[in-house]
Amino acid sequence: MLWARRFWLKLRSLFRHDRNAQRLDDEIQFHLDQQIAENLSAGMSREEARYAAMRAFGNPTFLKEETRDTWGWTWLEQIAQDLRFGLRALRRKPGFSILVILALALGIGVNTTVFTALDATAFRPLPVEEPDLIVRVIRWIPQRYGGTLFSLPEYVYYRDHNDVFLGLAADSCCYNVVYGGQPAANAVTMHQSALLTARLVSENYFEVLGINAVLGRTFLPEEGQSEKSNPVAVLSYQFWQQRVNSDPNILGKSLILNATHFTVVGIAPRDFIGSGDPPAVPDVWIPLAMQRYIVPGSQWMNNTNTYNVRMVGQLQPGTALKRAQPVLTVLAPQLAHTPIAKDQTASTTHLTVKRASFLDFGGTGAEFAVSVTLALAAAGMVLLVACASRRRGAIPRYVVSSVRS
Amino acid sequence: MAKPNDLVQGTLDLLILKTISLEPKHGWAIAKRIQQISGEVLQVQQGSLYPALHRLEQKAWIKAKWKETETGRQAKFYSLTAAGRAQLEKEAENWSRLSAAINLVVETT
Repeated sequence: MLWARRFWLKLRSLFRHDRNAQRLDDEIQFHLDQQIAENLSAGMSREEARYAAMRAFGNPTFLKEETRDTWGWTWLEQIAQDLRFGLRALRRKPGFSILVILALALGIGVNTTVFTALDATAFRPLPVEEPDLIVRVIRWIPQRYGGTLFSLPEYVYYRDHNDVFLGLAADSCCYNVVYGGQPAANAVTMHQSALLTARLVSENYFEVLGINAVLGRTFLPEEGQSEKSNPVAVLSYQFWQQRVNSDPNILGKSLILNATHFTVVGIAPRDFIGSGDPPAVPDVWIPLAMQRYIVPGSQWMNNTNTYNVRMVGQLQPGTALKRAQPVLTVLAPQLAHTPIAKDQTASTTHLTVKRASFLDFGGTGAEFAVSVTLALAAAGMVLLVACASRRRGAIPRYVVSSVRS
Repeated sequence: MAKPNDLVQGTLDLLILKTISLEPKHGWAIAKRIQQISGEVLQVQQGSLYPALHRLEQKAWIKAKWKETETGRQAKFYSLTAAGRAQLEKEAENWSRLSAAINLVVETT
C-alpha cells in the first residue's frame, strides 16, 4: 500500500502548500539557529557565528525551492503556467489560432471516426452468443496459405467426419439477386425493386453461431436437404426495417428473388451482421440447398472444383483450440483418399482453426485490413500535420522561457 | 549550483536512512551525526539534506513529526517507516557490494 500512502502524501501537500512552505521556513530557521548556537559556544562572535552557519548551509532560497519541488505537484503548476501562457498567445494571434484549432479539431475528429469504425467492426468478435467458441477453418497447402474457401463436398465431409465441433456451418459470400417478378397476392411489397444481396448458408448456420430469430425462426434441418422444396429466406433486421417498414405480418409472405418465390420464415437480430469477412449485412440468408436459384448457371452440390464456402465451427464447450487441431490434421489427409479430393496436393493439405474475428487475413479480409490500415494511417497523418502546426505556434514559448531562466 | 549527481544523491539517501534508523532526529542533528561518525570526512552541505529529506518523506520511506527539543523549541523529527527500513537494508546491501567490488579492483591492480 506504499503507492496509496505516497498518493495521499502528494494530495495532502497540494492542499497544504502554503502551510508546508511556512513549516519549511521554520524547519530551516531552526537548523540555522542550532548551528549559530553551536558556533557561539565554540567562541565565535555573533556575526561570525551567523556567517559560518550560512556558509555551512548553502543558499537557502535555492534549497527551499528544490525542496518544494519534491512535493510533487510542480508538473501541475507548470501545466497551469503553460495554459496561461497558451491562452495569452492565442489572444495575440486570433487568425492563426483559429487555423491551428481547426487543424487540431479535424485531426482529432478524423482519428476518432476511423477508430470508432474500426472498433465497431474489425476489433469486435463475431456478434454471436459465445464468440470464444466460434472458429474459422483455414486451409494450408504445404508451406503456404491456402485460403478459407472450400468446396461444398469438402464442407460436407468435414461436417460429417469430425467430433470436435458441436456443429460445423458453411456460408458463402454475397450474391446479387434480382428482386421482382410476377406480383402475387401475398408478395412482399417494397418501395423500389432492386438488386438485393443474398448469402447462402448451411441450414445449421444460425444454430452453430447461437443466433435466434427475433421474429419467426431460422432454418430447419430438412431445409438443407434437397433443392426446390426449401425456398425459404431469413431477412436481416436492417432489410426488414428499412425496405419493408418492419412489416409485422411479413412471415409467410413471398419474396421473389431471381424469379423464384422464397417464403420469409424469420428475421435475424439487429446486432447480427453476419460472419462475413469483411463484415457486410446481406439482405437475406438462403439455405445452400437453393444455390442453383441464387447463383444461376453453376452447380456447387457435387462440384469439387468450385470453392465457394467458408467454414465456421462451434467448439464443444471446454474444448481448447489445441484439441481441435489434431482432429483436423487427421481429417485432411483422410479426405485425400476420397473422390472429393481434387488433386495430389490434397494429401499434404492441412487445416488449422483460429478464433473467428472480422479481421481475418486472406480473401477479401486482406483487402479490408489494408483499406482500414490506410484509413488509419491517413488519419494519423492529419493529426501529425495538426500537431506540427500547433508546435509552430508554440515556438515563442521556448524563446520566452529561455530568456526568463 | 549543480545538482548532486546520482551517486551522491543515492549515497546521501543511504546515510540519512542509516542515521535515523536508531532514533528520530531533526535535520541539523542528522547533518552533525553524519559529520561526526565519518570522522569529519563526509562534509555534507547541510542545506542539501532538506531536499533529500522531503523527497524521502514523499516516498513514504521516512515520516516526520513536529516535537519539542530539550531546549523547548519546536523541531521536525524524522524517523523510518517500515518501507524505509526495508529500503535501508536494500541500499546498505547494494553499498557493501559496490564498495567491496571497488576495494577489490583497487587493491588487486
